[in-house]
Amino acid sequence: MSIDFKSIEKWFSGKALTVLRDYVAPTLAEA
Amino acid sequence: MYAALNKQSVATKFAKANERNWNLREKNPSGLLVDIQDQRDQGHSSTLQGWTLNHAMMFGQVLMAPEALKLADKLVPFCHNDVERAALATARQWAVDFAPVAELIELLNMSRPKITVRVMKTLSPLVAKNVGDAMGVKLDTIEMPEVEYEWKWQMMMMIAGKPTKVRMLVGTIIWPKGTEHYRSRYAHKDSNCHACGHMISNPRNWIPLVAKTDSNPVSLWVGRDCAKNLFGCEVEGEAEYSGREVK
Repeated sequence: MSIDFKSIEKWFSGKALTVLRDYVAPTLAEA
Repeated sequence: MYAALNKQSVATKFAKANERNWNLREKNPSGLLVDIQDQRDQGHSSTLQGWTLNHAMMFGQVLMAPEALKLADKLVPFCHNDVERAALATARQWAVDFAPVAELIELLNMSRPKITVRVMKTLSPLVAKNVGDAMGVKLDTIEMPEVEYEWKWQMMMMIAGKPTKVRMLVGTIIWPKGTEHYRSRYAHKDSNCHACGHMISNPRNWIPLVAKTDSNPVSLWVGRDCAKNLFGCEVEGEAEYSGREVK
């Protein structure tokens, strides 16, 4: 399953956005 | 993962802007996401409420996204003006964006590794004796009891007010013959860790152990932290256990 992370990034900002890009997105992409 | 996904400051800001101060007792309030519901005159009778969407966005409850999407579609006919329609469209877009993420997280939950516990990897016999003395249980050796694991659909989460099933690994413990239960001085109730007395509220945080003593074996239900820090267990994965003895 592929997820377009650009579509969910708009709901985040600041440090949470960095965590999403650097940690959550790669982890979910591998799953 | 959840902690990171919950911190959606943009969604939270939107949700806070759509909260209503009910103390003001406005008559027939409208214009906010929380105002949209199927029974505006008798809000307590509503089964479809924009509040549910607002709450999900406020706290970044990603797993609610699939239900939120269905709810958003059902609420469309109950919008009174363009402002409400715009707010509902924003909430619907949030649900559309996170529904695939929620689905993937559910799949990841189902693929959690089977629990493995290796006991007494690092603990010295003297420390084990001191810990046992503090608990009031003689700890000659500590082992993980035999457990039969089975994948089961468990009631796990409330989504949009409905209990939702999640696939979980559930263990049934085969205690050694003659095992005595609740012998630890900290086992006040079946919700207390037998090693420290702390209440364990997460059912997946329990580690069942069995202490072999001079007489009968003694069961020890301990929290994950005590299993690691007091008994030197290495714990990977997680499971729930059924059929536990009740105090």
